[in-house]
Amino acid sequence: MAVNAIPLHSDDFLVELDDLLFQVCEELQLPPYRYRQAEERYRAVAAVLEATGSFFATLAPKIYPHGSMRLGTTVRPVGGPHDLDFVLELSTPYQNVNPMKLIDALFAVLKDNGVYKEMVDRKNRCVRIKYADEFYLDILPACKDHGSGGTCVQVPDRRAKFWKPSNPIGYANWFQWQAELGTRFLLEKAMPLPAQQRTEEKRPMQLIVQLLKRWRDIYYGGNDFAPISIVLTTLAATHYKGEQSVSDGLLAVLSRIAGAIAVAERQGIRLVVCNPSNTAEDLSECWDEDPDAYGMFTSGIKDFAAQWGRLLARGGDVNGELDRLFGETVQLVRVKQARRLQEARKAGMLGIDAVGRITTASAGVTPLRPNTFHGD
Amino acid sequence: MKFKPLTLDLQKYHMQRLWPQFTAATNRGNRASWTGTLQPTAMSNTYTVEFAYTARWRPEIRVLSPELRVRLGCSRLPHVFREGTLCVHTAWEWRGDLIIAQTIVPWTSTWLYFYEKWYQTGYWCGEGTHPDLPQHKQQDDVAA
Repeated sequence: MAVNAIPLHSDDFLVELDDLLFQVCEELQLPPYRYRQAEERYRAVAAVLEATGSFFATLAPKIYPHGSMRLGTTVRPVGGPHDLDFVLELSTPYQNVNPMKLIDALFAVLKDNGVYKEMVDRKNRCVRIKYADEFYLDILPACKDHGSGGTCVQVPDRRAKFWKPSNPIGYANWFQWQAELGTRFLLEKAMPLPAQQRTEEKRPMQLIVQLLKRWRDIYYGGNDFAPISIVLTTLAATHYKGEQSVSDGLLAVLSRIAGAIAVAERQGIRLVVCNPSNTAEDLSECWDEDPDAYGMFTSGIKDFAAQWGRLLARGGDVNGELDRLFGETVQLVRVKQARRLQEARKAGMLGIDAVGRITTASAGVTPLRPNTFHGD
Repeated sequence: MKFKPLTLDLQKYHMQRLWPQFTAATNRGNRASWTGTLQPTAMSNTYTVEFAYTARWRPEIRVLSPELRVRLGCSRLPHVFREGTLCVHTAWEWRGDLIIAQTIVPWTSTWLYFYEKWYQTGYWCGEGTHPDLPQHKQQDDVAA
């Protein structure tokens, strides 16, 4: 079901909503000091793997971030640590390597290391290093897939006991290409007061991905059947067409995903979400084993599309809906907004426009004189 | 300090000039009232507000609709008088020579802004008197 709501709101509403959503995303993402810490930690891991005598030293290992950290779409899970993904890419052709031995070797090297021995865990495709403070590093070993060319790799899959195709660099390049359909997010117009100047530049599509992931975490309450991040990210980036407003773009993306689900339904198949940079990789293959999860994904997307369409059409005070969709982070952002406005009020920078809206003082608005809220 | 109060006609003139969406509803000798709408931000409710003014006295500010709501867990609204009118200034901040349209109306819009944030989050970020009251909980204890 596609939602074709015609927004009835004013531009001011969209600008304010976009500003609020931007700040919500900023609260959700990995803060800069954590980002730097993650970089330091992966370099430390790389040094262990490259050390003379290591199994990997002769295989010309390259370690680099992928997933949300590379894409700029990190979202702090509800009540859990960030998990940050890194690829350990070996230049050796995958045909020369036993996939199970590769993931075991990575686990063994870290397990033998004094620093990491108590922190490592083997997952299906990666080795996880758990730090006590707020994040996991997932290291995905990969070997070159020269046959598929470009930046394609193959990665071990313990369940399949074989290789699976992937292309993290190609994916990141595709994502960036899609994101650049929209210009960088601008806040000059935001009313009544834009958040402080950001040094980080974000594109609307990155925010749309973050909001989808946050909605997923709230809507599915952390259950295993929730759609996985890579599927949501790929769907959002596939269906993003350069919308400049995050709010409008989110509705457009949701409507197009709902449309694609409807097309698949008519064909009697499930939606297939492939890695666009390596179409041999079906990112949504988990739905084959769990049709209920697919059903919950499709009904969730339709719900979200309908709710978001109604919210944009109505405008005005949509704060209750925002709380329900994106959780308590919205509250934190509101307090920060109100605190900024109060500082501007005390500094005599505010005025009131003709309909009573608080804005920055300028010609044509009634200046806000100092006052003290009082009462019994 | 001596001051000369503004006449009701002058107050009405300024209200009409700055807030034409407000209509003067009553006029009994030394008393006037204005009813109209204010929306503090584009993401706010639009409130119908009445300002009732008896010359020289404190203007009374009533929100007619939507009804102001007390946040769950709080016993009353912050910065209101017992009878429910809004209290947007201290006694010495209002005098009869001030223009309601330039003071009371903008203050009311900011009160409504902070009221909405208070209702949504539990924090009154607009400061004011009686910061110790539970309904006036300040924002300082929110983790940055």
